[in-house]
Amino acid sequence: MTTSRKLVLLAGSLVLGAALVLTGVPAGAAGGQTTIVNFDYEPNAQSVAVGTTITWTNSADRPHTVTDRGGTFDTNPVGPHQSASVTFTVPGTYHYFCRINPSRMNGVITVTGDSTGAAVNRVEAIDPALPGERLRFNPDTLTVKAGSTVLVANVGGKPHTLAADDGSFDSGVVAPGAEGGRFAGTNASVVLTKPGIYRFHCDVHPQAMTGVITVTGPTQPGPAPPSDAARQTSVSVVDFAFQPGQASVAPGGKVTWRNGGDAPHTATFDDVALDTGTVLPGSSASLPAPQKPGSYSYRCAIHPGRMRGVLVVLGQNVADPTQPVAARAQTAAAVTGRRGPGGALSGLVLGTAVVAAFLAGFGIAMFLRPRRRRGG
Amino acid sequence: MVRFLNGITGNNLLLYKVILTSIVFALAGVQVFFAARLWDVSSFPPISAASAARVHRVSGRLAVTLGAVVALTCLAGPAGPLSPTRVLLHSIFGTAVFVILTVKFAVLKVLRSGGNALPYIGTALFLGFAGIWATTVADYVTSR
Repeated sequence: MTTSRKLVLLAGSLVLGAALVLTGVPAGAAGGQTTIVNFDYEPNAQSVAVGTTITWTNSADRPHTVTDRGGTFDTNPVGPHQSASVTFTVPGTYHYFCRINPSRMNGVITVTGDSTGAAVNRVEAIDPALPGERLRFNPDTLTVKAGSTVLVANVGGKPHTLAADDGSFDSGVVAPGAEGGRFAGTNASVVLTKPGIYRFHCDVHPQAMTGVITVTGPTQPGPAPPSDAARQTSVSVVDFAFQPGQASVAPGGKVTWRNGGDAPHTATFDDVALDTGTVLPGSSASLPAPQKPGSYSYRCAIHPGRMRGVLVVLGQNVADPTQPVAARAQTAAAVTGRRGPGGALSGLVLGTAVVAAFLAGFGIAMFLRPRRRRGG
Repeated sequence: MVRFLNGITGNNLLLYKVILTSIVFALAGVQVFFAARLWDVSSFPPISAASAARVHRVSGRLAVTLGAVVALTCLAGPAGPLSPTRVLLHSIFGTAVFVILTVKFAVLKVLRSGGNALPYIGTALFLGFAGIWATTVADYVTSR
């Protein structure tokens, strides 16, 4: 056998060996139902009863998300062979998508339930940013009980409002998702306290987007803005920090600061008129959280440069940024006890690149060398 | 088509593409390495220029074949071709590689002249493959 044939065989063996090693690396593929594939959800349209928990399992080889276009839930990236779950407690239609592949991966879930018994009902504001759609509310006819909330989710690409013709309620402008609705929009809530039949419209598209809400039952005072967050929370004050630095609470909830340090401190908010005053060592002070959901920064007025904190007032269906990711990610490694391909693949692929660069660099240098001699 | 490819690769289409692209990139390096020997600008590896030419030819055909397979899956795939920027660059590099290959075969088989340009063409080819690798495999690996 000639030297060149030996080299060819050697090169072929190396290539085949690398391929076998790489393809033989455990891919972590677990059995079970596939619900996310590159680049779709299967199924991508389903109808479930209120209270149902849906689990998405990513059987593809890229991370994907399951994100509500109306901004009420987001699994964050679900890695290959991981899963995430969302429980649907509010009746309505949910257009969702993948934040990583927003144009290609879309789905819709219809959560069915008795709207007249629900504390919250969802109405989607839809426009042509969704392929094949037109300006409309979904549903445009709804019967709810007095004291319940209507959550307006903007799943389109234009700003919308949901306002009663007689001025009884108005959601204000609900902003669309970025890039003309390519990404997730926002939502707002209105509380319907008085029974009656209310015609409503979108202030931005008053002709095309209209509907009727029938409110039944006795007049209600109207609940506080609904939230899944705790109604009260406490923050430890030490020398010189707030622990935790970021706490969450429901709108109007009670926040207590307990001073466990040796120095007096305060919790003085930057943008709203809330101040505990001086809290002496060993004592505590409480404040009602703002009603409007959002993040509020505060400081110790005595040690403002060293002690700062954030209070997050959580609105309805808003992921709590102070808590770990809501999605219950379950890795394939936990299920199968096997490693995914990431580490070994990285090493082999990068090694291959280094070898390629070395060989080519050597070859190119050889081509350049005689030229330099001639030039010299 | 994407579903079919996903199916036959056990939903690991991108993994297979990453492997094939890396192999093609390595073969591109092998090409330049043996080209230096067959042009007699290098005495390493210690084989004859004719043997180096044979290795160059075989590894080149293998690289082009595997590259064509990967390119077909790219064309059938759902990504790009113009957005995001990484995919745009990948499309440009991919197109450039096949244009350069066409030029190389034209020089070798049709024009039968301009052989002095071959080292430049080969270097450009390797850089094209490097660009393809950097805009896909590197992204794939670092995103895991």
